[in-house]
Amino acid sequence: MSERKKLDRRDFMRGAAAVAFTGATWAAVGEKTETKYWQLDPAKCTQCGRCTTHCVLTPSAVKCLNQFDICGYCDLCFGYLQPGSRNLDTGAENQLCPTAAIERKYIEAPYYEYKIHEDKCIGCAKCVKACLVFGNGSFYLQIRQDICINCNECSIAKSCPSDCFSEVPESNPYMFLTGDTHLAHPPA
Amino acid sequence: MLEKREFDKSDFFWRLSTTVTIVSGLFSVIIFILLAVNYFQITRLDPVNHELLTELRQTYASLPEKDEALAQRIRDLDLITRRAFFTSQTFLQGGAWMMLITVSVFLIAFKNMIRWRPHLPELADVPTADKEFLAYAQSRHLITWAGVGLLFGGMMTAYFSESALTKEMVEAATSAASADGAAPADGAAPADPAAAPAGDAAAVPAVATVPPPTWEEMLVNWPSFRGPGSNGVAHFTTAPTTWDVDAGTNIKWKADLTLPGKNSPVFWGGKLYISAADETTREVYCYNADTGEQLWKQTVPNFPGTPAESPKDVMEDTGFAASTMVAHGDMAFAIFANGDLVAYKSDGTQAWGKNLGVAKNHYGYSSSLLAYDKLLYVQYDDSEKPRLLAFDTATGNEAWTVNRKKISWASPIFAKTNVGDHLILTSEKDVDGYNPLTGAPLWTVECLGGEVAPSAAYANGMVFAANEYAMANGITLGGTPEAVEATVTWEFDELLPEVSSPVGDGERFYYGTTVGDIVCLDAKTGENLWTQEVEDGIDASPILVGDRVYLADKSGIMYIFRASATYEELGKLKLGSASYATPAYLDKRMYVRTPEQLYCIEAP
Ligand code: SF4
Ligand code: SF4
Ligand code: SF4
Repeated sequence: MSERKKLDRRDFMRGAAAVAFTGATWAAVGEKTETKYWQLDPAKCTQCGRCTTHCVLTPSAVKCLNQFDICGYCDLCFGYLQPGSRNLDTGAENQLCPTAAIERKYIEAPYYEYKIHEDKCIGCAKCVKACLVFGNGSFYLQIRQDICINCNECSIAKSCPSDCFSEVPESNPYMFLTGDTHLAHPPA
Repeated sequence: MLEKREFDKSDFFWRLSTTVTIVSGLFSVIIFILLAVNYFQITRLDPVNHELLTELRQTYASLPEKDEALAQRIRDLDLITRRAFFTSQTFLQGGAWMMLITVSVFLIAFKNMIRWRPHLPELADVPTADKEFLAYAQSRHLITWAGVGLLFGGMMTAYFSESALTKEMVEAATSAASADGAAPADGAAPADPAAAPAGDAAAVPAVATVPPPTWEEMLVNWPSFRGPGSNGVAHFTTAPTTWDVDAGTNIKWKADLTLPGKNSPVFWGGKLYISAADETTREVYCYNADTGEQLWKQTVPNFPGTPAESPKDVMEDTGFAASTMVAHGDMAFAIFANGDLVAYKSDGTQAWGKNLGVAKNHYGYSSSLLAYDKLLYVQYDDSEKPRLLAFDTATGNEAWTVNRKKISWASPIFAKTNVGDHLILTSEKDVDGYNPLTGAPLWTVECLGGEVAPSAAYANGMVFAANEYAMANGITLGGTPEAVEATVTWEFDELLPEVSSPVGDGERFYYGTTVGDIVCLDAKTGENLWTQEVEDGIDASPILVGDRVYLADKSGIMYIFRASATYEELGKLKLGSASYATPAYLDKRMYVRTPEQLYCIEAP
């Protein structure tokens, strides 16, 4: 019996040490390992177009957002219209977006709202580039975290020429241009 | 003889699960094939770079008046393209689910098939004749099932991959748009469908695909700054060696210029192009190279983004039209300090134009354009975002962009090197080689510094790049086209160029300095073979014409000397006025631009 008791105590000590060690490790690791998500920094993006083709998903998990608090609601929207468009209207010959993912909605003269339909957006960045060069720069790309499968190493990050991609914490998985994030984050 | 087995429960389940296994297995294989075919199709269906659609849009934009028939055709084609793309995607997603279901069914059925498998009599117990019969029966079954599977799979594959959609696309693009044709749905509804009349295909200009100019064609023209590939080497060796501008000796024609421009003339197919600009106006001119007659003059319009005010940083020495144009087959391209990039056809009609944004550049934008194959290169050195842009010459669509580390005021060169075709660019820090078709960086060497204006030169396996306040560097290109090795093999740090770009004859490199020296270095060792002091500083670039080198100083004196290891002057002739531009050298002719004039010198 005494033999067994001894053994029990020793086992208990070992077990306690193991629990203490594992617990401490978990606590330490747990604090640091908040899930990370891949995200691209719109300030670095040069709109090279690789986000469309290099994501493991088809269509890409990268989508365009319109941050409405920066948007000028312009009638002559360069992100929406082909350069040199004859008419400022929704005719396909005038639209820049190759998948007609941007909806142009009349608000009041002379304002129009541009809403991105993310199911159609393929993240080609054509509108982003045009809006940045000629407009207010309210269009920009982001990885939609509800679509992204969070690859171990984002395959777009590997080919991005502008080093835009980094891992961001779960609590803050988007990189918005301004603080008014709800305006840039329409319901998916 | 086989014994007839009695019908029982296990036999029933075995047969059922076997059938389900075979059917679901076959389905899985077929769905897999279809998904693979569809995936392949998706990768080919590229709504972003749909060539025909882009060309039609381009044509539409360039027409003087609105063409409803063409607009309708664009709408139809756009709708079909998008429909094809999204249908394929829906199929891919739906197919993936179907695949998952059929594979699950297959696995369950297979498990059951094993479970309910009857214990057949050992073959050893079966008489030989029956064994043969059994084997034949099994083979027949196998062949029949495989045949049915292959036939079905083949039919399905043929159905899905026989591109009905592609056919529709071609029809939409080549036939008249029907008045009741597919109304563009979704966001692309036409502004006023009722206003779109039935079109007439013949009325729409055909979008012809003209093959891009070849390197051989480029050689016999003077397509860009410093000639073919901007490398400073003339193809013709018959340039004049005597003239007198004041007396008119050997001067074929003269044309007066009014608007300023420091760019050099370019030549293609008997036409000469230059550009000029001041704070408010930007113009492009085309001359008959034989007569000097002005064939057309175009004032560059404002494009989306063209700034209302001219850029402030532009120094007087640089001006608003410092960049030399490019003539490339039937097209000529010009770029200005305000970021306007414009393409004209040789008849003077504007093919396309855009504004690239004003480059943040503290002396003003000065890089010259370059073109090769189907691409127009713009070294867009904006201090915040220096980059090399490539545009499709026909449409102006951006083909690719490469970010650069630093800016420069130099121009790109195109070289057919010992390790493949390279675009070579200099920057404030390094010399970089890129793949001219894809923009992929091939090599980089950190060897420059200061504010770099001289471009690089290439000859006989060596790249030469130099700048005042840095070094002159001889860079050897080696390795393979896939893995190029660029190594600085020598340096020279005494008399260095500040503006003038060098030229190489394979054995030596030549350049001018702003203090007024012509310098010759040995290409293999960097040894200073000779230096010749001239009357004024040199901003222009030397051009190799056969065994002679032509180089003008700022006062307008053209020095002609032998390309050799000692200085041998062959001529010292006045160009008539101060000269910043580099002349164009064609067969027996030189086209010279001075601030006030454009003229042609012709050898007798
Ligand atoms: S790959 Fe990088 S630079 Fe290119 S579009 Fe995506 S984020 Fe922008
Ligand atoms: S242009 Fe490209 S990035 Fe912009 S909305 Fe359309 S598909 Fe998305
Ligand atoms: S992590 Fe994977 S799924 Fe997400 S954007 Fe990158 S490649 Fe696409």
